[in-house]
Amino acid sequence: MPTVSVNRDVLFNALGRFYSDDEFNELCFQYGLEVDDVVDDPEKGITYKIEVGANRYDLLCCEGLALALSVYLGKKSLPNYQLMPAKETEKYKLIVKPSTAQVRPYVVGAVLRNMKFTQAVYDSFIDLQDKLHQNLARKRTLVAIGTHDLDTVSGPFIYDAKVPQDISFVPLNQSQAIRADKLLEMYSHDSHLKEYVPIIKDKPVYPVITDQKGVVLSMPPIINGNHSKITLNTRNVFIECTATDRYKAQIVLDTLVCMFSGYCDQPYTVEPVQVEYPDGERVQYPTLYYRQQEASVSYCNMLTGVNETAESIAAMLTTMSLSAKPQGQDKVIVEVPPTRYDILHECDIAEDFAVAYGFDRLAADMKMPPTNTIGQEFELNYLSDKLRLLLSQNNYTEAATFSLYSRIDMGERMKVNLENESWVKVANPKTTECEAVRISLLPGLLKTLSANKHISLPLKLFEVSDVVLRDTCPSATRGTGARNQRHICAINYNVKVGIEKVQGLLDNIMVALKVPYAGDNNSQGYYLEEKEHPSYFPGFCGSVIISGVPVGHIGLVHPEVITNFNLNNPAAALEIDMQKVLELINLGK
Amino acid sequence: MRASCHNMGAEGMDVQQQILHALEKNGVVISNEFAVSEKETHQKVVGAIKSLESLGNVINVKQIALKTWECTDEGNNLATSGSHEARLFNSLPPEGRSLTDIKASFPNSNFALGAAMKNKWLKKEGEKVIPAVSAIEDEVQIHLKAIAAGGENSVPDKIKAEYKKRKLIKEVDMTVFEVSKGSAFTTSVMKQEAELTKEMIESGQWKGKTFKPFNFKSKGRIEQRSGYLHPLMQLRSEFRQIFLEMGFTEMPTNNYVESAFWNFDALFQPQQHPARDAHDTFYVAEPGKTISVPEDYLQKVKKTHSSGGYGSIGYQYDWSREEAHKNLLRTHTTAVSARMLYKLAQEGFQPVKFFSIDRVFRNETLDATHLAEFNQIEGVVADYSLSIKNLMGLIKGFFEKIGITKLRFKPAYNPYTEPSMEIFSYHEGLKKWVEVGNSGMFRPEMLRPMGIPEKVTVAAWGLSLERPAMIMYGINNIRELVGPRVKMELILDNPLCTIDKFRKQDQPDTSSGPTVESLTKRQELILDRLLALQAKVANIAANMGVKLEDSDTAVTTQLTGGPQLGIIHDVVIYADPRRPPYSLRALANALSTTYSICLRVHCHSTVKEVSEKLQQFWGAKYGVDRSKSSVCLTLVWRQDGDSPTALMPTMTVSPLAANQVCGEHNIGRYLSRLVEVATHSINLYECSSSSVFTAQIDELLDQCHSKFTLGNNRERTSYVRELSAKLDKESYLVGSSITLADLLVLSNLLQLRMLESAPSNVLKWSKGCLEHHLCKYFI
Repeated sequence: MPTVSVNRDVLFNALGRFYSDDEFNELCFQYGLEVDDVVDDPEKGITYKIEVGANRYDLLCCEGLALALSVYLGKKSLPNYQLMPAKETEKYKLIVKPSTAQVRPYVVGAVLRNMKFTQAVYDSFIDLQDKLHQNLARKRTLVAIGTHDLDTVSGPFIYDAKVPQDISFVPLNQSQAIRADKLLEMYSHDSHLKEYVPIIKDKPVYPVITDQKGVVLSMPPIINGNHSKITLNTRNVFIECTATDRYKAQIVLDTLVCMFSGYCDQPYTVEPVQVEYPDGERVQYPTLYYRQQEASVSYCNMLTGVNETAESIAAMLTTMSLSAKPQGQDKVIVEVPPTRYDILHECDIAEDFAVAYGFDRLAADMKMPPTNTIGQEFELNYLSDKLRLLLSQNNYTEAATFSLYSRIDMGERMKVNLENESWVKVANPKTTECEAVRISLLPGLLKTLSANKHISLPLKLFEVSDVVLRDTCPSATRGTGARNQRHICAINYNVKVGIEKVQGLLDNIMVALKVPYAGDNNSQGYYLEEKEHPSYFPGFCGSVIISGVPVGHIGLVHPEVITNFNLNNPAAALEIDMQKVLELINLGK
Repeated sequence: MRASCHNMGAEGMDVQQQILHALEKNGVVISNEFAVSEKETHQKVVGAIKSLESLGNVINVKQIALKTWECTDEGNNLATSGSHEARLFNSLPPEGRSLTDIKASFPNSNFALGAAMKNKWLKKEGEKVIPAVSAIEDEVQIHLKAIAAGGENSVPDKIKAEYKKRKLIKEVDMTVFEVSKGSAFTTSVMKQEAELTKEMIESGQWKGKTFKPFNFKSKGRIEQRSGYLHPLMQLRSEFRQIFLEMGFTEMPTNNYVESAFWNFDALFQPQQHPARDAHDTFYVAEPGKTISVPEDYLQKVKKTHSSGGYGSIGYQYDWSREEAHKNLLRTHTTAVSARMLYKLAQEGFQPVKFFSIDRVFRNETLDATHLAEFNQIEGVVADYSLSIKNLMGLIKGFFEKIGITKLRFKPAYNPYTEPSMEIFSYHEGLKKWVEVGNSGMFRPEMLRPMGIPEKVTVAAWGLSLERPAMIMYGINNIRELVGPRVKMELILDNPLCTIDKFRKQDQPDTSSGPTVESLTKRQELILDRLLALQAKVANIAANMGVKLEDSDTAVTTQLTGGPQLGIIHDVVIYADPRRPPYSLRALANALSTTYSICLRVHCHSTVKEVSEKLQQFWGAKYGVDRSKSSVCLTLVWRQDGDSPTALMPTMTVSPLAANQVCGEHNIGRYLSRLVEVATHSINLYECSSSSVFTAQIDELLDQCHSKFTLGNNRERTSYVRELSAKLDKESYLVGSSITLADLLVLSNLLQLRMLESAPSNVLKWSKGCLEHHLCKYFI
């Protein structure tokens, strides 16, 4: 969730009254905002850090928040954002060159005329661009905004993409012209800009916007030119947004102009910019499109659990910055303003209605749903719980370890060659602890032992949990190519320990599952057969077999494995594939 | 205790019997004297007394610490083989020996000769030394033997002093026992049986036996460590139970690897959504691509995302099949809910209630509260025409089952639910609303492509399993709860997990605090423990021969030594100019009444500029010159960051002391003590005879620190209101004159610029304080 910093006094000024912290928190709670933090700075005064919903781009700055809350409180009515006729259509054109298709094919633009900047407005203007870049624009990959002092440049503007060696300009807050490739090299070390460099670094051409005289306005999505820099004296602002996603560029532009057109001499007016694509398509921006969305009164009432009329729903929606009119008894027509791109469906309207109605009011009349159903456990979990209880009754204590391992814990330390295993590899772990999904529970228990060397021996641990294996069978893997398999693992760690200790546990498990002991390789029942496993001591490892099918291992843990996990006593261990056992005895699936 | 009273042999019985007889005769037995008279070792006598004591009220025992004498090695040597002079006498033949011969062959000859001559045992005849008497009595040996046997009373003190000088005996501490008859005194103590045996039962002998009483005050023993279930897994079982009680069916969540399609796309979460970023989600390298997704459903999802449908305008972007086919480790169990709802729609919809509790994965940087995997608890109800009110009712029903009854819902945003609500519960301890879960109604854009009928709505909520577990077990670091580094103590100490399921019925009024009875009980328990501790300390003190003195100075002062008179106090205080510690001005005033004080202000390089006012923090006068001062307060303005702790002043008392005193409240405590060491006329903090007074101040100081210094604005304003109520009838916060508490509160209100807007009671109080002579230069 994005967090917006707002000066308390500026906000309260806009809201027309002073709120105590408690009162303001309560207002935010009602509206679905949250005061995350209050910072008191003797110079800047008190700043509220307010968390807003990730889909409410119109609340990402003080202007938008103040407007939305004023409308909610009934202190202001919604502004009507107006597109003025362009003064000089030709002059404020954006001509798109074909080569941009290789790197960043879309551009939109707008002009804010006769604006008044103060330091606070300027800071908020920059801050909103930053917030939009971070959230909606996905760190400038989808959309990048450039804002310019219109009076320093002369249109029409050209949006082109050129080889880096052919671009050279004085970037923002620099004094010397730098060639684009060198500039990117420089910015790859800049703490703020380096994250954007890879977006175009390896492209054959870099996007660049120039004016009629060839002055570089910006090299999106990296940096603007210094020439057209906005200052507190700027009166006319030219905004361009380049994009790889045309719709999001439209949202970004609409949001930006709506939020700041309030500072124009003629408030809430914007002048359009015409974009000319190479294929002859001509589009005028910003769209400032008011979309009509119908909402059914019965749907809103059903979802909210109330019984309100079309008039009252329309009235409540208006307090949520959605101007709405009733149409007949079961319809409300909502005019979705260009600031509310979050409204996709009438369910979004119903939610705003519910918020306006008040969640506290709804909660006062909450009720259980009439849905009558009979509860049912998942059989595998049911049987797992039974077995967990059985293992604890055998004086084994349960461990709860992670299903993500490091490769070294799962492979090298266990003397297992992972090349031969069908394990699931994580592509982008932040730490080595999360490189692999486990194929065995044993390493987790060994690590648990290692963290508990201060406990008197014997230490007897178990875990009943899932391992994950690659598998090409679509049905077994639910279409993904990997399936969970429930395992039982137990370990007995003591100064002196033999396999028979865990074998006794195995016998008890089998008694509980009513699997008979087959003794001498009788095919009915379970028996052990010597079998090598790299993690176990040679000659002291066996396969657990039920009706001829191997279901797991039992044995003395290999001394090297013991020392690899920083342990020093012998350990006998048992790991069986519980799901396979249940399959073989026709329990569970 | 148990170990000391087992195994009394026949010999032990004899001594016990002797003690009892002696008691009957004399009424009292002193252990060491008894040992001497009966020629037993003291240790053995003490053992017998302990055994008798364990029988109940047969005897009364009083412990006495006393000083006694024992022989040194040399003394023991002389006790066995006789004094030097006696041995010399005995070694001489009747005709005597020459002096030179004696000196050459007899050890310690000088001393032996001198002593023997003095005793007139030997005489000198020419060169020869010859016996003067026919027989001697070796008094030294007799004395030393007596002392070695504990009979030192027979030896005159003067002689003991001489022996001590000669290093033959030394003084030692000794614990002896004075035994008297108990209320159940008897001389016929039977041998006690340690346990009831098979033989006794079979023969019926148990009827005539007495048994060693069982010590109910000791702990039991367990032969083998039991097996336990992990606390987190137990809590998981409890939540499963709750869902089952509510009629929910468990979903098969045993597939950690999931396709992006089911994890995100099916939930109408757009492909550019930040949650899908590699920073948040674990993608799978192998198997990197999912094998199959139902194609007709995929087409519907694609269309809904890219161009809308079912009444939605969609997200208007190019939906990528490749992106949807990526495999990942599921980020929520809602992926499984989506599969289940799709399956339900395919099989023909009917109302359902689903739940699951299982692992989900997030590509987090691991820290005390974040793990890469945790358990998500999720409940889903699908039925015709469910409303938010139904969702709220469900959540209330669910949380009541874990003892949480006060709930509020906050509008929220979630890509696949609309409306969405965050669930808050009122935390009695923190006195505020805290988030406990998330919930919402699934979007039609998610449900309709699956084939769920139009009138059906689906309500869902979720929370993590680990968070309630951490609260329940009082764990701050999640890695102490789950994972391979968990210490076994957690599991062994929490063998049973119970939740507060019955609170709703038993305690309708959940807003009330702890009851008076429970508080009384707690208080009594604490007092009992304190008494026991006191007895233990007294016992140790008696054993060690230490005399405890009552003290009316605070324990902290006793421990640290506290500020002392007569040394120069070089106190350096670092403070942030944004939070000037005004209370120090008043304390400096108080100090200057009794000390010659030097006051200085410096500015650290981290502070660019300090106002004139802060430059003159101590006022125009700077006190006396440092060389003539006994206390030097140096204030250094420094900026160390913006966090509440960085804004706190710190103090070092001597450049050599590594420990810093942090916070204006603690600095105030130190300086107040310094004032009070020198004078009893100023009573700011600890000097009063009443410890209640000091405790009240302490409480206020700590509250003031936590609310004003560390708290947020909300807490600050509410605390001011609290103080205002307190000051309604009082002119000072504690007692009838100004104290450190007043100074600190006033200082904080000034720092935070909260005084102007403070309630009238507080304003009146502050005016009163500021008129006090100590507060002359407060502002």
